[in-house]
Amino acid sequence: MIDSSHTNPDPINPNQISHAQMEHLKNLARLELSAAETSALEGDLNKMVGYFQQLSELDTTGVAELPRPIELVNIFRTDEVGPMFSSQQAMDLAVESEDGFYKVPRVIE
Amino acid sequence: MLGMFEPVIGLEIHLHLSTQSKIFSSCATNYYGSEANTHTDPLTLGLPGTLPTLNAEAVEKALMFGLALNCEVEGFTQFHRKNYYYPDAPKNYQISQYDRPICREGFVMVDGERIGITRAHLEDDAGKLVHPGYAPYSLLDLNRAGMPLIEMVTEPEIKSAEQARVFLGMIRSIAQALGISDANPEEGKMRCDVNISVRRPGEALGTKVEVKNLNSFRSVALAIEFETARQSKILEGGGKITQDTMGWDDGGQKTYLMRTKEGEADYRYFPEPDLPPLMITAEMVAKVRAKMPELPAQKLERYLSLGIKESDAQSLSMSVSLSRVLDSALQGYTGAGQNLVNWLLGDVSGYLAGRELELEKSKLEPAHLRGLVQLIDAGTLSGKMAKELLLEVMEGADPHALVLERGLAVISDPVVIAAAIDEVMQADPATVEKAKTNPKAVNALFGPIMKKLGGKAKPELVREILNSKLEG
Repeated sequence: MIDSSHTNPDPINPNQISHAQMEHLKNLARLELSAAETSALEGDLNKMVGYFQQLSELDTTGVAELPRPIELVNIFRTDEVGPMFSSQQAMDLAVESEDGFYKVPRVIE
Repeated sequence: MLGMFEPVIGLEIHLHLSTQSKIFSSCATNYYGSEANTHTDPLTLGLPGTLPTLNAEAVEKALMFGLALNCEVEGFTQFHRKNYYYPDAPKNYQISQYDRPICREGFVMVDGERIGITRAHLEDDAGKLVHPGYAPYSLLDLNRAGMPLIEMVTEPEIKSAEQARVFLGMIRSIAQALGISDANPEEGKMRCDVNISVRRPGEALGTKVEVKNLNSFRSVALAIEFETARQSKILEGGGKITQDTMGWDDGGQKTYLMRTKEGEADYRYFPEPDLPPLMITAEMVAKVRAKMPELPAQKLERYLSLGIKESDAQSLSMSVSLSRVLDSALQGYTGAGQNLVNWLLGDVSGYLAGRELELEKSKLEPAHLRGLVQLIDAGTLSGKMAKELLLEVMEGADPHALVLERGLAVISDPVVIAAAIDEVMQADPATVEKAKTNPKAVNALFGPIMKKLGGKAKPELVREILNSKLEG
């Protein structure tokens, strides 16, 4: 839920994410947001960016990389074929379909 | 003067890895020719709650490919999410690799020149969209989604369209020799994007343009030639190159503007939280290395050491099917290897080309090819007889059995040959007289003699006896 009352600019460094960047992000994420929602999100994102800036002030020289919090590596699946959907099963999940294909908005580069 | 500019080319090559199941799920990969969306499962469709599981075989094949390209493969590697919204990717992201690819910093030698390999990484393929002309919508088939891909990227070190073509051929033959990919552009199992810029010799790199949608080696070469000319002309006229993504129009044989390139940041890469990273150990690499079959470059050296002509050795080493048949035919063959090669690249290839057949799909047994050549070496069959038998040998017949069954064998009995010569000479005394003084007229006798012997006599022997008779 987006709290539209929450429009406080970031206390650490305001305007880290510009309005133009916000519009660009909305487009990349394919989000349709009202002006109030946009401004609330902008505030939240700026807070996060500020937090990361704080973190990056830490001196991590000599600290080993921790790619994941859980130390799991090399988990594999054997190359074997399992069950698959029939055309009917795959189409049952579709909003719209045609001849076994999913119907999607027209996209042509 | 367009000739003042030289192209600088880098290639991005995608190969479908030939695994049984997809890269992150147990969905089968043999979808080619199947009904749309029948090679799908919950993960392929990007259904909520599904989790990827990494196919061990895809990793092994990627490692093998990396080793063949002289890459660094040991150590840490991980997957990243590449986020974008497009109907061909139902997850709304591609699982790819970003800063820590599985293969790094290798090279391939192309005709004595070193082409650097920047990286090769694993990722999943997207689905296939079709855009029917009759409708305002697109249709999506997700059979291809989740196919294991390896994407390799070269350094901008390729200098011409021809070198790019040779390089692609080499990558394909390496992939096929290793058995990691069919590398078949016609089935979309090998795709290529070209990065190309031009500069005056000695200058810094120019602004590059990316050309996509290249589905044959020929299109790659044509696109490079087209772009070199287009960019040179712009720079010559005082213009500037913009960093665009172009498509290739195969019909019109020209590039066209697709879109202005998105920035990398737009993909919002982040480490894939659903897949643990990999730590490729020296033991894992050693195991893969032990399984590696002979590479084209090693084959080439072996063939050259057998005294096979260089041009022949080149084409044989690049072809998995030809070299497989040759290597098997060479087993236990004590004659000159070139004898086998001449038949394989000559009459056998001619037979296949004439019927649009592939060698693997013909019924030729390598042992039968060896047998045929041994029969010629031994003088049992003439070249002409062998050519006639080849038609049946290509259908799976054993040449030794055919020779026994039909009593075929070269006539090498001088008495039989002399008798035939006498007959022809007696029938045509005029030509005999001419032949005694004019060596060219000898052929007028030779032809009918060979015909009388049913083409089964050794030509050298016939000539020898004929000449001695004419002299005597």
